[in-house]
Amino acid sequence: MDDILRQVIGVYVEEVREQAQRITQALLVMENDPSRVPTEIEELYRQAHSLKGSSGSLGIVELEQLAHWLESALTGVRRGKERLTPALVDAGLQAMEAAQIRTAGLIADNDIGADDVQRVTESLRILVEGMQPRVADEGRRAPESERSQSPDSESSIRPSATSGPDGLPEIADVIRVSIDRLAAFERRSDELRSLRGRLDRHAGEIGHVARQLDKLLRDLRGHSALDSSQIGALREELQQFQRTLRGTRRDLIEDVDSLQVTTAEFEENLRALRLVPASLLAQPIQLAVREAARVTAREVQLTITGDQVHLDRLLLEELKNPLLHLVRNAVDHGIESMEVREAIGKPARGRIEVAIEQRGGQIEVKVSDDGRGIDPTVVRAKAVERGLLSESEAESLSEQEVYKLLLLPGFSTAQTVTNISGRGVGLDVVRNSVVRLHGQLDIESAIGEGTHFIISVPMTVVASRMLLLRDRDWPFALPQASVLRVVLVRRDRLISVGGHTVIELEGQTVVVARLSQLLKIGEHYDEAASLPLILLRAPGTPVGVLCERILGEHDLILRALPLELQSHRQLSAAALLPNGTAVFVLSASALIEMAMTARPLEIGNPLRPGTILVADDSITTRSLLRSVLEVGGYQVRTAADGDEALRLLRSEPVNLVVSDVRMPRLDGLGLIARLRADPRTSGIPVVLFSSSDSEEDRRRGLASGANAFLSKSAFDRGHLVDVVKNLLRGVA
Amino acid sequence: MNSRDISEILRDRARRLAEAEGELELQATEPFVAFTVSGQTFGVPLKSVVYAGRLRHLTPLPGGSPYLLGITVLSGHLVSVLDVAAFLDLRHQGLGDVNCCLVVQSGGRQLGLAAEQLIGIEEIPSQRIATISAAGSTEAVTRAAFLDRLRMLLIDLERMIGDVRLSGSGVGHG
Repeated sequence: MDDILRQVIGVYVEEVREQAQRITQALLVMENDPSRVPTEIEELYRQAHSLKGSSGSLGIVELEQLAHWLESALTGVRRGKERLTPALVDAGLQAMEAAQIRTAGLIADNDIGADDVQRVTESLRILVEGMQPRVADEGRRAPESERSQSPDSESSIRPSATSGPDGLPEIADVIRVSIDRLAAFERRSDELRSLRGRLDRHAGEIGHVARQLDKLLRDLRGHSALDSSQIGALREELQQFQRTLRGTRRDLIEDVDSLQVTTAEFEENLRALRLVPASLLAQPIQLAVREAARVTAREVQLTITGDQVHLDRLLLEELKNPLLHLVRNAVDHGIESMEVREAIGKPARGRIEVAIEQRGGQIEVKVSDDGRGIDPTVVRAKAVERGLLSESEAESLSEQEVYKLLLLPGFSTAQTVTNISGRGVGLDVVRNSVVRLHGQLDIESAIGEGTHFIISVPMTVVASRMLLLRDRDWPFALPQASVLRVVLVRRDRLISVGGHTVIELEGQTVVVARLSQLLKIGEHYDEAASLPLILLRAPGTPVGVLCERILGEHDLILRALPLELQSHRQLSAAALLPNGTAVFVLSASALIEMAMTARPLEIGNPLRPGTILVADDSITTRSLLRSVLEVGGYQVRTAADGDEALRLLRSEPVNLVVSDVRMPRLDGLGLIARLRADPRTSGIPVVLFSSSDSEEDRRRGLASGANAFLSKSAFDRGHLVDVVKNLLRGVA
Repeated sequence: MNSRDISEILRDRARRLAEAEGELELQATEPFVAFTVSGQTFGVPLKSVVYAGRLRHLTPLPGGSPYLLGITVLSGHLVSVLDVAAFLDLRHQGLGDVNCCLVVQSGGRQLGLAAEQLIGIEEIPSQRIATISAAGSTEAVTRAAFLDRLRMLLIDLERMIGDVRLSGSGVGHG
């Protein structure tokens, strides 16, 4: 391998593996659902073409040829002249498997997989030339010895660096990092560098004081006694040192705090790197079902939903084997033979569904089939036969308890042992894996209708696509999967019908509620003539929820709510924002339920009494004042100090300011002085809040230009609203 | 002062120091982190405190819980922040300047306690701790330390975190 190739081989190999997986995916999708051939074949071609191009440019002729013959083999299908036959799918799948194996040889700079690639390429060529393909005609793989004796007699693939022990693809051990995520690391790195600079400066300051103190001590050694002026000078000097050290100490404490935040964010970003989409499970599941169906001569329609959920790769790895067991089990034990299905009036093609869903702090994976179901009588009889239970004990078990017997090691009701399942090890493995993940395995079944295996495991780290929104200044997140779409609606299109507020959208009557009303964070309308309406997926007709603003869509890491918040049914989790803060994730199902029983909105002439700016350095005081004023019907903006308040006042209209007196940077009195000095803000009423209720402070506050002075120690919600109302009335 | 005087003085000094040390050893103390909120001083066992510092950010809880203020993030973990005075029904009328937070843990759970001021670590001699009739609405405060003119209510974290209102069962949510 030459130097240039050595430099790029890692990237190339990752590319080949990804292309091979996408091609495999496209083949499986097309085979499963022929109506998707027109779109998937284009994707397959794109990937095959890229594979051919990149291989050619690096001089890796064997994979260039493989891609070329794969393209040629599928040309007829692409042009709509040929049907996608199982033989073509087999050939394509084996080509991609061979390509992935060969990547291990390319990395190691040896011949691993080269024979397989050559053999599969030859098979594709023969297929293209219309000869009888000798590739994988019955899906049975030749043993190693046979293959070595007759390299082109049977296309068989060895497990490789990219295949699991079962020959199915492993989830890649290399991750791609988005530019955004990388930029977040760079930002944190910049912050750390800046912090290091500050710490260096503090060290310098302390060193300076230490040197000054050394000098002072040296000077003092020459004096046996000090006169009063010398003592005064000495005191002054020491006081200066004291001030410097206090200042440095304060700065150091702040920097240590910042360091803690930055490192926490760094760790969080690192954790986020471990997230992978659940769609990585799709391909192994599809291959396992396909293989099991072929061996058992079943026809199976597989559906996978929810594979856009992102979860920790370790969790994904742990879930893979139990899921493969369950789907194989469903094919072998659940789905009846085609003859039986037809005889009992079921479609010949059985259905298996794998649904991945995030529910609060849990990941739920449901594997369902529409097969024969579990017969509790048979399970009871088997347990008695194996001496696990007496007949009376078996009879006394509930259905759920009977199903749990299936999870015992070695327990199987299968009449015959097959390569696929029936050895009584599958469900035992599933149970053990789930227990290891601190999760639970539930079984639901109905005779003749099918079985559901439900795995619930706690999400350690899960990222999901979230819609970020804001209402009454409160930010929230909603799972994108629960949102049908967002439309901007004019308020005058809302009407009251039968105790509900509704809107007509594309011929459907949609029930509408305001988010702030459902969450009890404010009742009044704002002046905006149009508001975003989030249409939530609901059984039948969607339900609409109005909010103030949509902030965008983001992939956010979710955290389970602490136990004490888990009864708040309108909240399903919390999401961590890139700035390290949290936002509550709303439960769409709870919102739908609440919207259906919410009282109608006040549609006519909305009243918006005014916007109030609350400036206070205490987070909880700000939150409390905000909620009091919002309940009073006011729009509230908040600032953590006078400086921030001034910036906000310059950027948006505010009718009244409620300010703390003591705040960092610019205090309440300073804020009033700046407001009064500016003609644009001089007329804004200001309510001063103070921790002190002395007459002197009150006098000083009012003399500074405050319109009202309230004591925090005598705070009364109703009084604050009255004062604000009166002041705003005066302004009007 | 002759050498005999000096040796006597030194012996006497050594004896007094040894006695004082003995007294100190006998005086068992318990370290608490002291903080104030709503005009009250509270103490929590030092060993249960995992963080004490500024409350940098609080995501308020919608729906108006009377004692749960919201959540904050500490090293990537979510922590609920509790208004201790409201939880214990000890809030006097007024508005505090809550800017700090202590994160405490007990029984595998963590909880943030909103604080107006963090006083620091107090080594409280056992004899200064007395049992009191339950302060507030729960059994979470049944001991107090009396230090000079200060009364510090000592929080039993196990009882507080185990309180049914924080069990996630929905009991007591306002």
